[in-house]
Amino acid sequence: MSSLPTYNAEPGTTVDAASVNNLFTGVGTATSSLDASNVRAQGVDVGQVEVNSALNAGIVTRYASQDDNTASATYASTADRVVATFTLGTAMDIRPGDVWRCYYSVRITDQNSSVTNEADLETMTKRVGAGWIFWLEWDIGSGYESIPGQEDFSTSHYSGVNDDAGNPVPHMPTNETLTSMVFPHVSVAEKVPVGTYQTHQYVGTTGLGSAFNRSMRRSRAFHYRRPVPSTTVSVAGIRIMVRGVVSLGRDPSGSGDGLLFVRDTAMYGTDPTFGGASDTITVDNKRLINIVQAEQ
Amino acid sequence: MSYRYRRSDLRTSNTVDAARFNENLNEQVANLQGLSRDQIPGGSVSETMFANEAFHDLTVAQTNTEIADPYRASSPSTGPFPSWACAPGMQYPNYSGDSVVAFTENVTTKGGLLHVEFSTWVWRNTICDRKYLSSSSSVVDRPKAFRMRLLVDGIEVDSTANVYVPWMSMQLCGQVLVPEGAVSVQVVWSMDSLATYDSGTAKDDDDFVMLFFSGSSLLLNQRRS
Repeated sequence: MSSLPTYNAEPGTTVDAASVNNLFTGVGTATSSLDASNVRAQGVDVGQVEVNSALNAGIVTRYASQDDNTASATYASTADRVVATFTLGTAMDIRPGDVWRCYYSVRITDQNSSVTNEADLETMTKRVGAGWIFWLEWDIGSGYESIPGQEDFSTSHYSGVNDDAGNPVPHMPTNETLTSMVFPHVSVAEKVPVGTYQTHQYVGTTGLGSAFNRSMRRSRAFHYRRPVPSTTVSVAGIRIMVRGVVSLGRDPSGSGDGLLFVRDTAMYGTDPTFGGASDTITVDNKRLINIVQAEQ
Repeated sequence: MSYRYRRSDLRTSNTVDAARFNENLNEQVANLQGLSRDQIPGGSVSETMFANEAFHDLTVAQTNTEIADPYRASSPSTGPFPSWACAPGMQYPNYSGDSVVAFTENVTTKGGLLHVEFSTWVWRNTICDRKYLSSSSSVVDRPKAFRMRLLVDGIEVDSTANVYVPWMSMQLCGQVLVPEGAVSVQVVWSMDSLATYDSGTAKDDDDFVMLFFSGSSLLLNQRRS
């Protein structure tokens, strides 16, 4: 409380220097620590709050941006693909304790599938479908790399993930998919009818063995808090990645962790192959929104 | 403006007019007791002057949460494929169709508006999807759907309908006024039970991993009232 002392000298009297000095001391003490009692109601408006005009940063929302990329391109399943690279107009600083809220979306306009198998898959009844997976990478000064909580495809995350020919299969741990967005490519469904043991076939939108082949737009949100203590990270760019065609599985080494593995080669002897250059996805109208907020 | 009171130092022999002294002093006191926008220049209040969490209290939690035991499958019992083709998701032998709490996040709030965002991706196995025709040719089965719900103190703030898509990203979002004190945020999942929709002739359904989710994050943004 910065309550100021008062002193009322009577007119015509001689002011005592010691009393005045005591008053000044009291005033000095009180004004050395101004608080709410010294500021009028609504005395502080937005104008009084310091902002960084270059970043248009506020006290709570430190950074906000929206980037669009309308280019359309078709990508084949066989490798990690860069769908869009967004070089941020102003670097996005995330300080210790700050929260990054990211929202991105893409539109798929076409998919092609090489799956033509309509055979009885009874011997592969636990077969799963496959899809495309998107994820983000950031550039924080050393080129594009993984964002915390998100990994890329590698043959070394888990050991023993090999295809039917014994070759290592690229895979991504599911517990490192913070920024990932998934689209279906083909699913597996039971064949009608019946009365006996159901059989299973790969199906898409247009029937057995087809791809989904429908335009769709999907979005993904994720949140990242910069650890405390840590250093401020300055994000110069963010890019959207895609990989196909992938299925869902688990770490064979015993941890029980989930993984996403690519389907470019046959996984088992009886497996109908798909993936590879003939399985494609067309992506356009990509959007990236970033918000960094401080805990104020 | 950077106002700092400058202390005067009167000497013993100085003569001061009391009326003038009071007038000047009281003016200074009045100004300091009620600073206004005119006296607080633009940009003079910086972020370091605000108390931490003065307006917003942000929490990010449950990163990459997945289906947990006892609903998490170990490996398939049979199959011509390697065991690593079996995702660690929900299997019917471990699940009977009830609502399962994926996680509970307990936070202490200061009261006000709580904004909750939950984001994840979900995989649903379609292998049991079919139109099974009975001997009378009537449809007796349908695809098994899953659902997710976002709860704050047990009250649903957002939820999905029945979801039949094999792979999708999902975001549940809601705002709710909360009192000062402990608040519980939960995400609950459920899937159609095997018993309800299965005709009993699909003898392999119970071996399948039917549901999996990961890549999650939960944002709690508490705005002070």
